[in-house]
Amino acid sequence: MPRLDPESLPVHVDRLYRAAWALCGSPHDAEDLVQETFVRVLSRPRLLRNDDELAYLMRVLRNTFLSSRRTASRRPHVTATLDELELADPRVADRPEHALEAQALYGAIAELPDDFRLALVAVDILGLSYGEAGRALGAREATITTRLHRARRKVVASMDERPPREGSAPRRSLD
Amino acid sequence: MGSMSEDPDRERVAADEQRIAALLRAVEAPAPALLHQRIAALNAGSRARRRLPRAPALGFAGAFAAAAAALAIVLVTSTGGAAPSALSASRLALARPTGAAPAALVAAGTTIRFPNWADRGWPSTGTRRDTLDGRTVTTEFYRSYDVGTLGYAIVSGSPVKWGAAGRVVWRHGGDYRVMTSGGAQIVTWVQDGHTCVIASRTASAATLVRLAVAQDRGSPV
Repeated sequence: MPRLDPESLPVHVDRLYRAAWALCGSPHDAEDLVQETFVRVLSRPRLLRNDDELAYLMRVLRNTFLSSRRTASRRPHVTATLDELELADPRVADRPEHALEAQALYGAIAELPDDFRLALVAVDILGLSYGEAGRALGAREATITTRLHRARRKVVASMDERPPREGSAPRRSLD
Repeated sequence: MGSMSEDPDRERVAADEQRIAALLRAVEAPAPALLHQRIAALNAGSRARRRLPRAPALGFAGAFAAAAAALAIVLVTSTGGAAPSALSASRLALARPTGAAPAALVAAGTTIRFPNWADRGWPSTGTRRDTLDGRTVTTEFYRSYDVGTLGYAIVSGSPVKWGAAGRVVWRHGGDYRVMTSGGAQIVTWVQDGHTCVIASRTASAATLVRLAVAQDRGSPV
């Protein structure tokens, strides 16, 4: 049974980051999720059963995402007002239109029901085949096909319904 | 059986697929450089462990030591050498106090007085003083019954490096950088020309930002 080669993992960081962003809906949470995923993967040698590397990483990413969400829901918060904070992403400050498109697209994906979102992330963002996605997500290939089509439909509809860009500009003060 | 061009469902599915693909191609979203650095550091730590002769069951302590080594590599990568960084200052804010809780305390090398948050549920529990790359760092610790402990460190001298980590929030005209490291929430800002860092393993980022704004701007907590 082949072993996961840790040396080959860095080439997947960009794709995993996009997948994590689509799962979380936030680029900042996506960074934490990807890092936690790699911490788990690198904690000990891993065997690839029926997966290739990317499918294996997708499965760990999904499990990490679901468990971190469960943990977050149990953690007591005195205030849960991070949404009120005005956030700005300095990485995209020089390409604001690009950033808005990315925010909108990944935001739309993040609003999908979990099963639809995971199918779309696995196939359209990570580039897995339907069969690989099914194995990674523990679903039949036909189920992945159905979920994927519905997910795409919803995302396309969501993007088409978006208001013009002016309404979604970053709230960062320019003074 | 109708051809693809005659089947409206198939056409719609194909159109959706093309639209999603086009959208995803249009929004390049490479992972931030710092994330690449962190993953490289994790991989380096993993590689170093793989090269070690196999030891009998490391257990939890071994896993913890390995994680600490990986974190140290990340921090060294982030600080980039001798100059102090907000992240290295945050380690002091997450350390244990070495002195008793003071009645009032002014950070060494500054005129910044540490706040008294006792009446807001955060009584002081202790202090410590350290030197970080030639700078004096004064830290006061507070403990809330509900939320746990936080450390507030003030680094004397000109503002230290923030690096590219975390995100910036703007509150009441001030910039506050919010970071996470090793499961801890960290908020840092510049006050009177000195770097302030509040860090906690249990309080939320929103709580820390609220306290930072209160200290920086004198607004109610």
